[in-house]
Amino acid sequence: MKKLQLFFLIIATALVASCEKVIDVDLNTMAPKLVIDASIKWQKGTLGNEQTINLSTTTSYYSNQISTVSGATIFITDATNNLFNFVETGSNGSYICTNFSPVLNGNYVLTVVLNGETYSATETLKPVPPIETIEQKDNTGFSGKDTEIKAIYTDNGTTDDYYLFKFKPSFTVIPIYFLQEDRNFQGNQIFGLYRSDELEPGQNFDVTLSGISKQYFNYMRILVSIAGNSSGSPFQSPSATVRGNIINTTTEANYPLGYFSLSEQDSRNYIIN
Amino acid sequence: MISKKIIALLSLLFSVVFSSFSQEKVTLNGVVSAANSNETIIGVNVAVTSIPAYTTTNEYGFYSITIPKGNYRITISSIGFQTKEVTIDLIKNINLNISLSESGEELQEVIITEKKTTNTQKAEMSVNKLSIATIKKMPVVLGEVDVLKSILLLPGVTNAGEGASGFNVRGGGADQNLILLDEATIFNSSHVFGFFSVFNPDAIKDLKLYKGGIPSRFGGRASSVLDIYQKDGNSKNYHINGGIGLISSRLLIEGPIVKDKGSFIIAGRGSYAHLFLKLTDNKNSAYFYDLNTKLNYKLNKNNSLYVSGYFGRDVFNLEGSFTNIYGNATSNLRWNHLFSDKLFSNLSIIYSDYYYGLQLDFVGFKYDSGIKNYNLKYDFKNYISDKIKLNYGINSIYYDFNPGIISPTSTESGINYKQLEKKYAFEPSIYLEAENKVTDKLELMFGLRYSQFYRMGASTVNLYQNNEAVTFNNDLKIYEKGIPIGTKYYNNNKVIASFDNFEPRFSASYSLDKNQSIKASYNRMTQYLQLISNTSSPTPLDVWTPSDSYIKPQIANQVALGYFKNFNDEAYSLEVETFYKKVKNRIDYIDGADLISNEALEQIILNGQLRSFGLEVLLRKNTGKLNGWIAYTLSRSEQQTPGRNANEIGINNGNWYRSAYDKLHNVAITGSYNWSEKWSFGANFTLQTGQPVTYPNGQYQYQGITVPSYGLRNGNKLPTYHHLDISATYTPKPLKKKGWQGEWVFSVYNLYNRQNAASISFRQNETSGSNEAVRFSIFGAVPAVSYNFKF
Repeated sequence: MKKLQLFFLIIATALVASCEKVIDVDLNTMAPKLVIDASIKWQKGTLGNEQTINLSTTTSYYSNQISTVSGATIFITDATNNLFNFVETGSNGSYICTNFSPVLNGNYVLTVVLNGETYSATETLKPVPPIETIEQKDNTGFSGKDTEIKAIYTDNGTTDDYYLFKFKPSFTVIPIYFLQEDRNFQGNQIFGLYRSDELEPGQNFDVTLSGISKQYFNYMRILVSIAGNSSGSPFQSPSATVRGNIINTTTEANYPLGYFSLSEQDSRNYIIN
Repeated sequence: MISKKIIALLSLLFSVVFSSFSQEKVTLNGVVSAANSNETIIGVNVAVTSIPAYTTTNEYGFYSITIPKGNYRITISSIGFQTKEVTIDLIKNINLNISLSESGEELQEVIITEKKTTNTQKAEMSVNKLSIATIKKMPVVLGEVDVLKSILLLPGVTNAGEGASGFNVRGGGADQNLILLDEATIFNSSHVFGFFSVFNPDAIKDLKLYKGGIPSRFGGRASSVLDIYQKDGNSKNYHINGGIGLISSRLLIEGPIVKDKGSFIIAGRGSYAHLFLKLTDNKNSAYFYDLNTKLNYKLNKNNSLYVSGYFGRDVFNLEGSFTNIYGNATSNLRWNHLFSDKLFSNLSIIYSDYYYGLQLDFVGFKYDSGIKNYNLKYDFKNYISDKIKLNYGINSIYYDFNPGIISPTSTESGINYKQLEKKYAFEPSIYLEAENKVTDKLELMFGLRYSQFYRMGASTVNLYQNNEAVTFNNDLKIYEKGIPIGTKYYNNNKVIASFDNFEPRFSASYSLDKNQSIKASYNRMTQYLQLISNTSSPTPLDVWTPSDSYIKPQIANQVALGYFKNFNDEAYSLEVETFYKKVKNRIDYIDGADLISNEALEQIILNGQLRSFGLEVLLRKNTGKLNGWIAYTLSRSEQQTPGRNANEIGINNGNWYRSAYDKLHNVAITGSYNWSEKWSFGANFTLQTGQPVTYPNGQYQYQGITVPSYGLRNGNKLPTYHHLDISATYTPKPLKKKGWQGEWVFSVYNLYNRQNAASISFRQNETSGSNEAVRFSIFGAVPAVSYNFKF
């Protein structure tokens, strides 16, 4: 629905001599908080054995530095108590595992130990249908100048499913996330849609479709809405810090940010015609 | 049980009515209307100064006063009309219809002398009345005269900013205002997402805003009542008037059906399509239109009929792939009947609906939703004596909510057809109120409204563990949608949930002397409908939903105290009021709530409370070439949604936080100056504390995007909001009273081009990836010109 609000913004801005300007706003900074970015992704057709988890802390809003975290012990266990260790490599906050073993609909437990505090989360690895085709349509959209990309797939009609699309055109450094739930298209062929007037022939366009849990869907929906690029309209919803599924089992109140998710995914690279 | 309460109230009502007739007195009654059009006039003061006794005309121009036999001089005065004095030998009951001449000129826009003095005697308080003539003189954005924008200049009234629809009264939500157009409820008061209001100023006769001390005849909303009456139409002559503006044009035709007995009025307004979408291809359009009609016919001395209707729509069509249509429609039939010279009655049958439709062809999605209501009202005004007037009546509303029909737009669409389950409700109520002049100094108004609400089938209701539709995840400390453990189906008209509430209303006025008084009031209001919206101002996409087993009705309690004074020979008046209001069961949403096409709204709603308090000052200059007012409001509006038990954290950790409509300071100055018969000038200045918002207090990286983190809700505020607007009205031939009469209105909105922030958003720059704050402002300086005519 955020998208709908965006349409209204477009209409509203077209109506009047409105104006957007980058300004200086003084902001307070809270004490740094641990951020655990633990997204396990199993690309169709691969073994999925190589996985990365990133640790960092929050920084002041305008800071261009990422404050990475080292010295943590990280491992994931599966339903049959297999242990997958994530080992710190270098000093960029990345922890890598090379022997991960993904199982569709399998349950996993993440454990992170850092500075005497233990963080823990449980999630299920969700399957995803393949992207069937990618369609391109030129000179469309409200301005008539947009290029439109549709990534088409077919929903599983027997389960309630949640999907995460990641669109990454080469003209921007920021990926666009788009969420779908099959409530209104159970079992049908459906698509993820991306439109921009900045797409040019020859550009790379990466599309990734991931199957996600309902809880992660709820998390990502809030996250995407506060992450900025889609908000900023007079229809803004109240902003809140979004809490993920990772619990600090040592000091409950000192909860970390981020999420532990596991998805099967299908990625395509498309060259704009 | 409930029916017993009704019987008790009814018998109380009738025992009061029939026991208080007096013998020695006679009654003077009639209708006050405008001399040139027979248009009835609301709120005319009919005063017998020698007693002293007074009454005011009701919504239909009717008055009745019962006084001892004698020879009296009666003074009849009203805003915008020349005061009239009548000497009458009152030895028996007399029916006297009075016509008043408009003061000043024929064109309402250039009225010079108006009676605007504060009524210090009447118990009524926290009420603002604006004449359409006053509203038309105010400079407005893009030259579009706007009823809703003008009430924002009154103390205690704010809105979320430019381009935001609705208004907030005394720190209440925009959904807590009851907006009535000829008694019909208007659910969305805005065109073009809040830029313009749905009320065509040409067709409006009168408006009254009740911020507190709300009379018992009104109910159903927690904060305020905006009561708008349409014109009846001229029953003497045919007239056409209209206006040509930058955004829209207006045309109104009125005239007699049968001379002096019946009249009609039809007014239309339409904006120009394509004009503002400055996009090269012509397939886009955006426009709105509305149509007001009214017929009235005086059957005889004791009976009159009124039929009125409103129809308005906004239409957006972008490249044929996105279509959005929404709007209100109302119609009603009213019958005024005089049972006796002391007992006035009005029976109304009202229908109103709000439609919202959306079609997204590029995803093959169509969505239709709406709310319909059928309202039957029977109101009595019983003018028992010059000391006591009774108002009583019944009201019953049937609601039909359509949360939405989702359908595919073509055979290739992947969307499945679905009718979200409809909801039905019934809201009957009964009220009794007395206006009592206890002594020369003390006037009381006390009443009681008893309202009921039934949420009814046919409907399927979800059942939850422990009756909790929202669950709290104790590990993650977040609220989550509850998972139904079953459903229960209720047949047609089976009651799913019911509520009943007594709503006492009280106000008192104590006159210190002829020109000053102290007033106090208390009112309780119950609101059974909830507006589900995740924004601070209503948007067309908002969903109205009835109270049910999980969503409780809002109950507001408000007290107000005020001091009122007219001074310098009534040239100036001062009103100072202070209020405290608390609303129970104010809803809030769990994080990440999806509000649209949600079939189980109870799963995302938490009950909280709202409180607001403040001080309002209104200083008006009523006479002279320069008149206008200064309004200042100091107020606070806060919301709290605590956890339901010790484990839960609530929203914002259960702490009070500023509501989205908290404005600590609010200053409005408006003035008009009549330079000459040809030229008059107007100016408005508004200054408000910025709207509460939440700014980020940190950031982090997650999956390649930068995510801001936030502190406590609404802990920051936008920069102070202010603008100055001016207008000039030029009447080329002010003395011309017949044939074509025209005037030009030139205006500049936001004269010094203040870039007021409608929002400040935080985003990651697409090219550099760095974070930045972006101010979004809607209007800079906006010049406009419009032409109004009449013949």
